[in-house]
Amino acid sequence: MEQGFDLSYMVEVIPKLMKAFPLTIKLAFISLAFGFLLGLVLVIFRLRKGKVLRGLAGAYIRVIRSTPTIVLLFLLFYGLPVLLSLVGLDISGWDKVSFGIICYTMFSGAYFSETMRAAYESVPKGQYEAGVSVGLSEFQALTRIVIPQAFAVALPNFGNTIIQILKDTSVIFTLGVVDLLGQAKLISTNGYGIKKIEVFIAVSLIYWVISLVIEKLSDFLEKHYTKNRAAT
Amino acid sequence: MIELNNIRKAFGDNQVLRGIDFSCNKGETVVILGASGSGKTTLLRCINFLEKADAGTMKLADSYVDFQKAGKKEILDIRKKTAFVFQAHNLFNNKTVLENVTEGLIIGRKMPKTEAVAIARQALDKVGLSDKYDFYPGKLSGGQQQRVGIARAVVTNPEVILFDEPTSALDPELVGETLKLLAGLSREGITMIVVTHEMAFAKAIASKVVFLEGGEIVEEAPPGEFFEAPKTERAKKFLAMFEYESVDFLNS
Amino acid sequence: MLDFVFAWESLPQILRGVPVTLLITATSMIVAMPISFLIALARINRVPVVSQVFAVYVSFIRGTPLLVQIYLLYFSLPRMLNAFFASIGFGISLSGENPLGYAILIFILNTSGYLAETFRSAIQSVPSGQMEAALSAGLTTFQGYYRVVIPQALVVALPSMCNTVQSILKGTSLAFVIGVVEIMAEGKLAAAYETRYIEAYLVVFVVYLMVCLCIEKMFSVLENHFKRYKVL
Repeated sequence: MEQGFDLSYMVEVIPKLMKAFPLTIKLAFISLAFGFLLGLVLVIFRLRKGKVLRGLAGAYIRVIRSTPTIVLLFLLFYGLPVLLSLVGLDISGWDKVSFGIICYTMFSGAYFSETMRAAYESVPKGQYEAGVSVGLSEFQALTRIVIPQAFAVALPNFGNTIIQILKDTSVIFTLGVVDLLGQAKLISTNGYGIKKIEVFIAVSLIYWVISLVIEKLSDFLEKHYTKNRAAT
Repeated sequence: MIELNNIRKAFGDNQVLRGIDFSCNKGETVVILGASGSGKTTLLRCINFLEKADAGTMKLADSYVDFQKAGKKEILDIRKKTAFVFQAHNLFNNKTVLENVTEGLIIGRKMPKTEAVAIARQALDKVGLSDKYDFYPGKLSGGQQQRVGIARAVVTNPEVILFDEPTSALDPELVGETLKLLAGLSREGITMIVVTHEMAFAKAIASKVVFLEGGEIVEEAPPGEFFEAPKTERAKKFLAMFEYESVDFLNS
Repeated sequence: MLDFVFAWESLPQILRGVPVTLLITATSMIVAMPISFLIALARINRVPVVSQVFAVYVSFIRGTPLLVQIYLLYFSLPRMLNAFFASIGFGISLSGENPLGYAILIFILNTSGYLAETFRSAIQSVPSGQMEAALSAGLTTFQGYYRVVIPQALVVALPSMCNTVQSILKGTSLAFVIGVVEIMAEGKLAAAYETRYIEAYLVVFVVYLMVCLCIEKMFSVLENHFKRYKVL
């Protein structure tokens, strides 16, 4: 068996892999967008005084954080159609990717809300008090003083969550969806055993590059946003 | 022109304010003295609703509030008539010095930007920070931050400015300049309620001194009387803890 | 509608996967800890070459999906190990048999990458004065780390480590793709046996939840025990 590592094959295989790139990216970013909204809702619940909403949001986050991605994915895939059929909705025509979107929205919502909560709590209460003392309404003090500062704190973690979800989308391959990983498996089972390593190195490089790009972007945004605003 | 009646406030089981009756006339500088835990900061914070008093009423210029019934509109109304200077400065970290001062004018009072900027610049010049308009708070010293805080409070032209231990967080060498600033404001006839430990300042500047202990006003008198001849035992004990020299704030 | 009898009866089978899951999780964590400390220390002290190599390694682990790493390593490790053993005169021919062994290796590598970052920031949060005091008292650098700095770093790192252990645990749910029979694999088997997917995966979901909660409790106890080290 030829033991050599075929670099040219690896390079050759990258464009073939990239065919699945749009799907992975779309899945990740649609989920992240919805997840951000979900995160906002959750964090508002978490910060309220009412115990019910706070408890619900808290419980949701704890449960999600104890659940492996694949378990939620499978539960949604097999369970959601049945659940919705109980209220008369027929989703049998749904694309598998849709379940992925729901799954990753649920996860990113939990991560985003924790990030937002920590960031919000890190802004000293005095900032809000100074805002209202100067005649701003509660809403104005929040949006003009507190949230901008919280956002600066949250940025790096937002970047991390994006990377995390992007990597996690690879799990949707277990449902048979041809994302980046699915594409890699397809290509590798069509070739010889030796070629498998090159394909998987190639796909891991693709993911790695995407992660690095997002990391750099996040760093850049953070520096730009917090230019002079070093808090004492 | 600010009158508080029967203010009560408890934190859990701790009754911090036990029915305070307090008043301050226009142009007066009232200094509130007391030991830690006496309730003096809480009283101040109740005035602009940073703490919500459990009971009592307040008359401020032509506004009247019942603390139990106060709604968002009343609170906002009071906050637009008052200004607060914090012990920890609390400058808006995400805004420049100039923006800190104009925020209350542009957003709070819907003043046009050019007008607000002009007024803010004037105020900052007065406190000696003309070269710091575009600096962010993180780059200023404590004393400079406090001066911005004072400018921020003054520009909104409030009925009364509330000062919560304005110099307690400052390095000793910066205390003097801040107190001079306060003395200047007092001289100009701005109505001020100041919570402080600076006895010499109180003696020189106050129109009257209010001494709080255990959530009650124990003694209330003009500074001359209070410092030289306190009437109550508790006031005497309190003053004995402090040694101070008289500093001539009015002429230094 | 839901067949609770089936769910209940499938529980023993699904629970059979728990020891395997725990084995992978515990072994990875325990073996990864010293490795991660070494990586962290190498990077903090900027040991030439080594720290750069480790930086790349950590970046790769954190920038690529676990599932991709599983496949990549599963395909390449046997050949790499064969080559390694051949070079030291040990002619063996490993294949993909005994996936559990490879799974443990893969998770050790994965955990080390993440844990190295956790330890790096934990060690850096211990004031440099601690090491200075240790050296002044006549300890060697190694002793300084071993007896003074690292114990304190561990305390700071505890909450993160709880997260890491839970992450590994959830990650093991993907080990079934290389043939490891852990909780998820048992779940799939149980589901397929009577095509009762929803019930089976619900049981799987609950099992993961319970194990995660136990891990949290464990770390809670640990954190309380070590509270006395904390500098206020």
